[in-house]
Amino acid sequence: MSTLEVNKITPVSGGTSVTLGDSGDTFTIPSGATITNNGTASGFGLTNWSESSGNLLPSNASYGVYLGVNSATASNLLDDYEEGTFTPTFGGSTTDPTVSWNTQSGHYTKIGNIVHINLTFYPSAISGGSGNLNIRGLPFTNRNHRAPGSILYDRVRVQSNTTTVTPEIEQNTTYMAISEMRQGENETRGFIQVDDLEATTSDNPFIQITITYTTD
Amino acid sequence: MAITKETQIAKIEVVGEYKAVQVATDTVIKEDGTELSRSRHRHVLHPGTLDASDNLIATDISGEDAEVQAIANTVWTDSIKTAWKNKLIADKQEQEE
Repeated sequence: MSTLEVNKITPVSGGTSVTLGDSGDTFTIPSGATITNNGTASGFGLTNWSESSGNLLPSNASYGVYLGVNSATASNLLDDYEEGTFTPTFGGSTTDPTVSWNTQSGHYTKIGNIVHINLTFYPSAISGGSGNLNIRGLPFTNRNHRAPGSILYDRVRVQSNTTTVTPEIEQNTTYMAISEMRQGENETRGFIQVDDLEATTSDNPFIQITITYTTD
Repeated sequence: MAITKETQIAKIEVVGEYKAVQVATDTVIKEDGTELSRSRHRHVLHPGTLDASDNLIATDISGEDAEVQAIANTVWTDSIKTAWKNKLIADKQEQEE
């Protein structure tokens, strides 16, 4: 083996590229050696990924990362992440109320097929409407099962024998109702009505909801 | 230095047996054509809602992007609308039990 010592390799006069070896050849970088890239390197390793401001960027939005496996397994593929907003609204199962808002906000984070949403409602005025209070406008369609969440509320009337209040996204929909379990000899289930939203002379209802659910 | 704001339809997805049309809209802020920020807003369209007599009132999609309208009008067949209406009625009856 001979050693070639040079400071720089450049193309021949009139050329623009330098080729190392031929197909099938192997070039070894010894342990402890470093190759520094101050330009653009392409064709190394992952051919369908590039860098964007320090972040990995796939060439196709459907590409993801297999986690926890060393073979391509669909159930281990994380191929979606998204953050954003949506505009939830109040509706009634019979007729919709007319609402103006101090605060009406929805934020979501989607990781794979999991959607986590936070909603805040603080109306400035509500009139009309009847039936169960429905909250509409969720950002993704729920799968084929009901999804319960947690709620914080003020100035919303519940029955005196209510034990739990739970927002529930209906299956295959983008709306939820708010159920209340009522204690009794046989526990019964009811729903918050539009007219259970109680405005006072000094303030209006306030509702915050958090739910995690799955989508296709 | 020109700051501009534009909206772009980022995704249109058709989901589930009732063909919900999920629309992701990006708001893009640019300075002299260079993107400074991008935020996403989502909404979902279903074929309609029930009125007090359980008739299906078709969703008004006239304000939607033309591509969204075309997709919705294609996937919301009469059989899908009927299935969606029946599902809404069943949900309502369940809530009333």
